[in-house]
Amino acid sequence: MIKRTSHRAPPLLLWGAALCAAIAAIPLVYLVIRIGGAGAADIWAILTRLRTWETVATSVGLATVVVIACLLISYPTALLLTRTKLPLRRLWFTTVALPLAVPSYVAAYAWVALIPGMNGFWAAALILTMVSFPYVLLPLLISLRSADIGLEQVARSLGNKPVAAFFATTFRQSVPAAAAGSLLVALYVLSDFGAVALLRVDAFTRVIYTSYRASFDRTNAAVLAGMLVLLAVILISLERKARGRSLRFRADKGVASSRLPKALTPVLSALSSLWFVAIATISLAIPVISLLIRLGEGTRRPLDWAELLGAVANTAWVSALGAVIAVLLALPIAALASRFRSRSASTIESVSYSGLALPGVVIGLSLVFLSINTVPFLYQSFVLLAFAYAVLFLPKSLGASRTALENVPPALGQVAQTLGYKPLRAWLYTSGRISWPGIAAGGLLVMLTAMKELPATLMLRPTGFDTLATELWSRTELAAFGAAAPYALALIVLAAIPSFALSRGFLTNSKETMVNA
Amino acid sequence: MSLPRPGSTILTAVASIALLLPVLAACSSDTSSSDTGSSTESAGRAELVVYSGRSEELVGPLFEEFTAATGVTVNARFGDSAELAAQMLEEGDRSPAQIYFSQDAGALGAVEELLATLPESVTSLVPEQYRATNDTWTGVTGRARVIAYDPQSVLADQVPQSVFELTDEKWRGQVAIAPTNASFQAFVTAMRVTQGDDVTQEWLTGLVNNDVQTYEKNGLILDAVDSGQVQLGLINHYYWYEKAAEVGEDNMRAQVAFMAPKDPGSLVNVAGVGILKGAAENSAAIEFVQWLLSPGTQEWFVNNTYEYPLVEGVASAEGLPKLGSLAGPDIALAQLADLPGTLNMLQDVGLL
Amino acid sequence: MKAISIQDLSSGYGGDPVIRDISFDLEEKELLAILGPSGSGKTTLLKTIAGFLPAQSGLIKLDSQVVSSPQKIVPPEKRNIGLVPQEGSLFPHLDVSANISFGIRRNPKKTQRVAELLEIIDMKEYAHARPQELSGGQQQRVALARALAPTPKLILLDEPFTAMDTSLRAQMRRDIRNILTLTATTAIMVTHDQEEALATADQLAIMQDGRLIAFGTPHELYEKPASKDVASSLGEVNAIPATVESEHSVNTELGTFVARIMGDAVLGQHGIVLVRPEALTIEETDSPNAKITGSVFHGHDSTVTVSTNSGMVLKVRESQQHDRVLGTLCAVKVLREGIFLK
Repeated sequence: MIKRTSHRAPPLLLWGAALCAAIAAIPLVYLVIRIGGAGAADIWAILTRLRTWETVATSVGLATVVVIACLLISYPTALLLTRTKLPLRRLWFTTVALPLAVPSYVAAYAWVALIPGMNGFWAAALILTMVSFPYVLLPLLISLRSADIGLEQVARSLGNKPVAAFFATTFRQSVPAAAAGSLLVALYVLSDFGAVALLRVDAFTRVIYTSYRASFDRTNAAVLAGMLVLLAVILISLERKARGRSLRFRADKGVASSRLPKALTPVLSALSSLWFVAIATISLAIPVISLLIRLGEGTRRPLDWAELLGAVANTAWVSALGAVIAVLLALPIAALASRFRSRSASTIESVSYSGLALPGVVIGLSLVFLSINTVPFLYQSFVLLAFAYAVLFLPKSLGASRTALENVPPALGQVAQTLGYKPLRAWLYTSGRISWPGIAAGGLLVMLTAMKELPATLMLRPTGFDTLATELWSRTELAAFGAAAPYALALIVLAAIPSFALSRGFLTNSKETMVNA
Repeated sequence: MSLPRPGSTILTAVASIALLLPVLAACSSDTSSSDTGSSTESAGRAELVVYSGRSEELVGPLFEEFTAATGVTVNARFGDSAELAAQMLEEGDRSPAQIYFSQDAGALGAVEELLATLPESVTSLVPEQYRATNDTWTGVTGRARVIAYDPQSVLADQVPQSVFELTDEKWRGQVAIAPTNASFQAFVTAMRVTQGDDVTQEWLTGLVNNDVQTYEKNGLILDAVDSGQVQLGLINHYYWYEKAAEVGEDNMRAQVAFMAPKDPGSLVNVAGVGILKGAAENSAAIEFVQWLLSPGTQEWFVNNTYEYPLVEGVASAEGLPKLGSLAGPDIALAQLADLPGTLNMLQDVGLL
Repeated sequence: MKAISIQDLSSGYGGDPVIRDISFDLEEKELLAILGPSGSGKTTLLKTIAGFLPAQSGLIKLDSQVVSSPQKIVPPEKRNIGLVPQEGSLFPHLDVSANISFGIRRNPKKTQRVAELLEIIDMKEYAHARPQELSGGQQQRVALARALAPTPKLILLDEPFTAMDTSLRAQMRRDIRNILTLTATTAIMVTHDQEEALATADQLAIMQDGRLIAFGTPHELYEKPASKDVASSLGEVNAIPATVESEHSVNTELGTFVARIMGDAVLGQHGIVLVRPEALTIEETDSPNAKITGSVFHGHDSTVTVSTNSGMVLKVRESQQHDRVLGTLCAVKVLREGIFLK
């Protein structure tokens, strides 16, 4: 009955979402305060340094290459998984999200350990691609699976060859999904420090970190971080453009015509399997093997199992709590963005994304500054750390929740209201309930990423509280790489659990479709 | 279409437990985060909050010894020296830290405004050149700049004795430095102080033109030399000893050499400690610093980290040149305060 | 007692009203069809009645209680008005029984009621089927049952048959009509299909550009349309220029014939006379007044388009099979009374 809307958003929802976005934008507040402390001359000096722009160019170049590489990997992979009778399909489906379990700095470290000379722009591009391509692949899988093949058939009847038909229809329909994933990847690359430092790439984050570590100039660093935020805003608006136009392609009526998976010739079967094996090897097998080798090297102190397990438990709990908070914060924003298209709705949404572009050190410092001045009793507490994760990774939950909610017809909530449910309950019992799988998937993604987080964790954790990432870090600081290996492996194993759940959920969800008469 | 539905059992379990955990964590956590500097007396035992830029693996056992010896619990927070410094600056006077134990003097210099003047009972233990001019901090152990080399390509007598040789053509692309590292920056500042800005800038430019390889950390430089990626690397001496202790001396390919005394390349830097203003009167804090400078602890460092003791009467580790003989360039560490100038220069030549 | 009474209602999405000055009453158990093209405001009216939009001016009364006015709006969940949206919109995560009982979950007699309704919609075997397994028609029936479960005072149906095959539609219409009668439910149905409106409704409202241009029984509106717009909403109609000849007849290009003169027209008044295609006939003749220009076969009848000597295009409905050859000259005669309007 009622389509996407000419309504105005109910004020409660608007203000609720705005509040959540404001919370997510806390690091921005900090940046503004710090930048405000900078003199105009200082800012000008930074902005006119050639070197600054060289590193910006490097980072942007790296992000571009990685995004393109991720797309090039994800499209064929997604097609093979959704459209063909690939051998061992189920196996590949379940492993498809596992590379997310490998932190970029662990991957870099593992590769460098194996191939000592490995460094530079292209090495970084390779490694960053291999740990982040699932961000593009997963939404793409969903999009391709639900794409209406009827459109392709129409295109073919109009004389297009199959490939052209595909490009004209299904490919266009997949653009928003690919764009959303690409945005996450791009922001991830821009804000990454661990991998580029290890691989000796002159990236922009390096300049920011140097600012903090060498000159202790938080003002300068804030200005530089501000530049990152601007970059992020540009990327976000690009993604929105890509997303916005394609909304019209989404079929409102009718279940997508089912498709029969295509059988592959033996040669193609072999080649496809080889493709998957290659991806799994480069993104998973090689880092793990490298770590196992290091594990075999001597260490000065034997592994303290209690310490390791303690770190495992800590990592699991705090990242889980962070995920829960992130989902709760993101939900009002997602509910708003999925139904209402006013300027305020999109501003609110954009604001919440900006935190993803910032390096962890900035987020950490911003929360130090703000929490110690406003809620000192929460400073360096478990809850604050979880909250930091939520602020850092809220956009991941936001994207997933919004997509899930967008797919629920508003009419359902209205029907529930006419059946006696108050508006909030009506929403919970319909949209909320139906999009729960998508919302939960977003939560898993946050949890997964939080497990790997390092700089903000170092700053905000309760004293004496260690996660796998911090333990790993303190050992590598000492060049005790043999001692670090068990923690790196434990981290990958732990993070593999939510990754695995994400992939599995995809398989079991294959029967569920929206009901449209 | 909605996103994949994850295994709902895993999720529900995780989510419900995650919601309960903060309660448990809050109960069991023993941080004194609500305090700002003064020590907490709990059942007669004092607590000390230490922000340590030296890693837990290394100094954790040391802190435990302190607790065993004095009964004071050490609540140590481990992190990167510089990031901790930035954090303390953000925390301002509400910082819970009472002691700041830093990996290098530069970070200490950056937070000088937060530090209290050390009492004489402490400053009398350490020679002047290893302390802040205003006595807000003191060095605890010394680390010498050395040159790591790959014996498979460089014979022991071919190793350069002076940093100025590194711009030579024969070392093109074979020299590794870590320009973002505080020790390197301190070394460059020292060079500027003793040799002047022009010479220093010329040398740095010479390095860049000679295709010098940059790494993020000393440990990575050592790894690179150890695996034959580069032939020479400028690092701190104890990295070699630490790695050797981890993997076994026989497994170390890279070796280290000390440069000629008085050469800028043989600078001795310090890891140091300071007491935050809020804890200036805190007896436990003062005791802690004194204990770090006690002969027993200094020997501990000698034996465990292979660093140089700064307190008189304690012998340095076997096999290391005497601290006195190193001498390093004739400067006091406090003179290395002009970090911004160094950073600008490094930026100008394109190393930062 | 009037089930629903609407007085001078205007409503919109904030800003200018989309619908204006709507007034009508509906008795209990009656089915009102609101007919109009897209953009006429029918959905807006429905939303306002349901309580999703506020009344900018005017009143809505349910059972003599004011539920919408500029000062007050009773929220949808309190109005006890059922809703069957265009696409059924069954809850995909619930089975048929759970869908039906959604609004009566706290009712102790809910199992009984669900069984009752399943019986009424003739889908007992589908009690535990999932919505995805049902056909379009079945989904609509379940959606109706769901709306009826809490015994609402009024049910709103938004173009309920649009998504269906034509062959199904007639059957569905009958079914739904029967269910509504059986349950004695007052209903308002929005549609753009005039056949549907005429066939199912007890009362008919015609909307155009946000206003109500006619309200009455289907017969009344069809036989005595107040304007050409009303008339053409209900089916094809020919509007022929005419002059009043006498109290009961008019003169036109097709000759003089009987017409009901609406309003206070005087002799000699110029205007138009509305004549339905089925009121015209084509004859062979020596004095033709028109030429056949087209013919469309509908199965049960045909529509023949003719062009008169003056160039006016008329539509004629013929129930018998004639091979109408294009270009044939013929005479068009008026068989029944037309309606003359100024």
